[in-house]
Amino acid sequence: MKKQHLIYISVGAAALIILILFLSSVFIVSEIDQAIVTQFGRPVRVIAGLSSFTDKDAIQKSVDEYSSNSETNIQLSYGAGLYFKIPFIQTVEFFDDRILEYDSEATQVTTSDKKRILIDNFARWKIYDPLRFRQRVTNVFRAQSQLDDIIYSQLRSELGEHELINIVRSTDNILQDEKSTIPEQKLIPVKDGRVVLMERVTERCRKAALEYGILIIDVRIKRADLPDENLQAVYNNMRAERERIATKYREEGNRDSAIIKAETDRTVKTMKAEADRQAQVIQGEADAEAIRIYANGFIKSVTNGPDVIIKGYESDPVFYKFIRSLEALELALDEQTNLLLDTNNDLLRYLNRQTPE
Amino acid sequence: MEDWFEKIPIDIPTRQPLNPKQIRNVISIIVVLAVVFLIFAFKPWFIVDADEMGVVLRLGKFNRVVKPGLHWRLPRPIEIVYTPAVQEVKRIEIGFKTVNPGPPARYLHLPEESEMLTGDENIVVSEMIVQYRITDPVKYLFNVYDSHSTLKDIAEASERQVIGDYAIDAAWTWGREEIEDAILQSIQAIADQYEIGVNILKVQLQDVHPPKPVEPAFLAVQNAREEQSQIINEADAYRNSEIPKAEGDVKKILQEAEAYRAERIAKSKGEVERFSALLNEYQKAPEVTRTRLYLETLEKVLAGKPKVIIGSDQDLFKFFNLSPQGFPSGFQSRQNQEGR
Repeated sequence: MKKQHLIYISVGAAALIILILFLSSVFIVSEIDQAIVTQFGRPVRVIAGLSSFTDKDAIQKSVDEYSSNSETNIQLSYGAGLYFKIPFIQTVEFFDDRILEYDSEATQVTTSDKKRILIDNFARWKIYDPLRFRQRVTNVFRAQSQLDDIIYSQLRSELGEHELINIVRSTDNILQDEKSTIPEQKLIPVKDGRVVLMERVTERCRKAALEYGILIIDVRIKRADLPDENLQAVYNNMRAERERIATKYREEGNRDSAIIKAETDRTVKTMKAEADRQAQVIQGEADAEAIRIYANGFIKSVTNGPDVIIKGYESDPVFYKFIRSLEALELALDEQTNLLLDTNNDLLRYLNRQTPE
Repeated sequence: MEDWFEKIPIDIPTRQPLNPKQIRNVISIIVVLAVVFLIFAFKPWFIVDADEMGVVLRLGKFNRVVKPGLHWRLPRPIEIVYTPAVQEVKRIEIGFKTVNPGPPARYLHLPEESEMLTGDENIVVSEMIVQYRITDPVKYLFNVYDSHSTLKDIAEASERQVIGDYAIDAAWTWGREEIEDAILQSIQAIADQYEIGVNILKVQLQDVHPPKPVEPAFLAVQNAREEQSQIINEADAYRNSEIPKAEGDVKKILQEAEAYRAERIAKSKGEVERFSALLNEYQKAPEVTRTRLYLETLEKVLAGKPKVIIGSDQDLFKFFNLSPQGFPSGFQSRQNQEGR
C-alpha cells in the first residue's frame, strides 16, 4: 500500500514536471507578433512577421551580419505559428508585427516666407527587422522618441525651405477654378506642393530609420494651422478680401444695370429712328404719288364697268392755272377784305354799259 | 505525514467498505463532472452574430474565416477567435463628437479639428463624417494597430490636404462634391497602402462655414450679391417695359405715315377727279364755261364784302397809293385777257 501511493505521487509529479517543461518549451507567435528568442540575453532565433512589407533579403542580411559578428548561429524563420525553445535557458520577447502609430505634439515651423505654422503630423511605421530593432531601440516606447528625433528634424528642414502656400496646396487646381474670386497676386503656381513635399520627407525619414529596424510607411501632416497670434492677421485679410468681393459684386451690378439700360435706350432710339425713316419714305412716296396723280391723272377702276381715265393737270395747264387762280381768289378774299373796284372788269363793266361787246 | 496516509485506508473499510462497482460509479460521476467542467472551462464553441464574421487563429496562425452561426473550436490557447462586425457601417467624426445621439442629439464641436487653411490662405471651418465598412476582416485585424484611429488620422490628413487645394468659396459652394470625392479617394488610397482592409463608403462635409470672427464680412458679401441681382432685375424690368413701349411708338409712327399716304393720295385723286370733270365740261364749251366760272367766283367773292366802286378813274389808285400791279399779276393779266 505505502509503496503504491508513492508511485502514484511520483507519476503525478513527473507528469506535472513534463507539462511545465513542455509549456515552457513551446510558444505561440500570433499573426500580430514577431519574436526573438534569447539565450541569456543573446539572440539565438528570430521569427519575423510575414506581410507585404517584409523584406526577406534585408532581414537575412542583418541576421547574417549579427551571426558573423557574435559568432553565434541565429536561426531565422517567418510568420505565425507554434515554435519551440529550450525551457528556462531561452526566453522569448515579442514585438508587434502590425503597422504602428506615431503621433507627435504639434510643433511650430517657420516657412521660407517667414510665416509660422503649427504642424501636427503623424506617421505610420512598423518593425521590419526585429533583431536590429531589439538591439538599437529595445522596445516600442523607446521607438517613439527615436522617431521624434528623425521625423521632427526632417520635417523642419524640409518645410523651412518652402513658402506657406506650398505646404497648404498640393496642386494648381485652384488656378483652374474659373469661378473663384482669388486676387491675382495669390494665384501663384505651387512648387512641389504638400503631397510631393511629404513624399520627400517620408523618403528621407525612411532612409534614416532603416538602421533602427524601423520601416516608416509614411509621414503625413495631420494639421497645419496658423498659431493664434497670426490668426488676427489672417482674419483681417479675409475681411478685406470679402469687402473687395462685395464691392466687386455691387460694381458689377451697377455696371450690368447701366449696360442693360443703355442698351435699352439705344434700342428704343434705333427703333424710333428707323420708324421715322420708314415714315419719311412712306410720306415721300405718297407725295411723289400725289404729284404724279396731280400731274398725270390716274386710271380709276370702277366696279361693274370699264376703267375710267382721270386726266391730270398736265392735260391742260392753262385751264388748271385759271381755275386754281379762281379758287385762290375765293380763299384770299375773306370777310375782312375791303374792296376798291373800278368798273374796268368783266363783271362791273356792265354797270356802265348795257350791250355786250 | 505517514499517519495521515495510514488513516485513509483504515477509516474507509471500518466505516463502510465500498465494493468495486460502487467505486466505479463514484469515479464515473467524477469523470462526467470533470468533463462538463472542462467543456465549460474551455468552451469549445462560439457564436458569430449576423453582422459579424469569425476569424480563427490556430496556434497563432490564421486558419479560417467562418460565417454567422454556431461553430466549434479547439480550446483557448490552441484556437483564438475574433468576431469583427463586417456588416456594420462604421463612422468617423471629424471636427465634432456626438455626445448624446439623442433625440435631440447633442454634439461637441472641436475647433482645433475643424479649422483649416484653404488654398487661398483663408480659414474655413468644416466638419466631416466618414463611413466605412470592413471588407477584409483578416487585414483589418492583423495589419494595423488600432485600425479605427488610424483611419481617423488618415481622414483628417486627407481632408486638410484636399481643402488646401481649393478656394474658400469653392469649399462651401460649387466645389463641395468634388472635395468630398477627392477626400474619399485619398482616404481609400492610403487605407489600401496600409492594407487596412476597409472600403470607404461615404465622405460628407457636414457644415462648412467661415470662422465666427469673420462671419459678418461673409454675410456682407451675400448681401452684395443680392443687391447685385436686385439692381440687374430692375434694369431688366426697365428694358421689359421700355421696349414694348417703343414697339408701340414705332407702330404708331408707321400707321401715321400710312394714314398720311392714304389721305394724300385720296385727296390728290379727289382733286384731280374734280379737275378732270371740270376739264371735260370746259372742253365741251370752253368759252362759256370759262366765263361762267369766272363770274361765279366773282359773285361769291364780292358778295357781302364792303366795297367801293369807282369809275375808270385811274387817279384814285394814285390817291390810295396803289397800283394796278398791286394785284397778283397772273390774276391781273388773265383778267385783262378775259376782259377783252
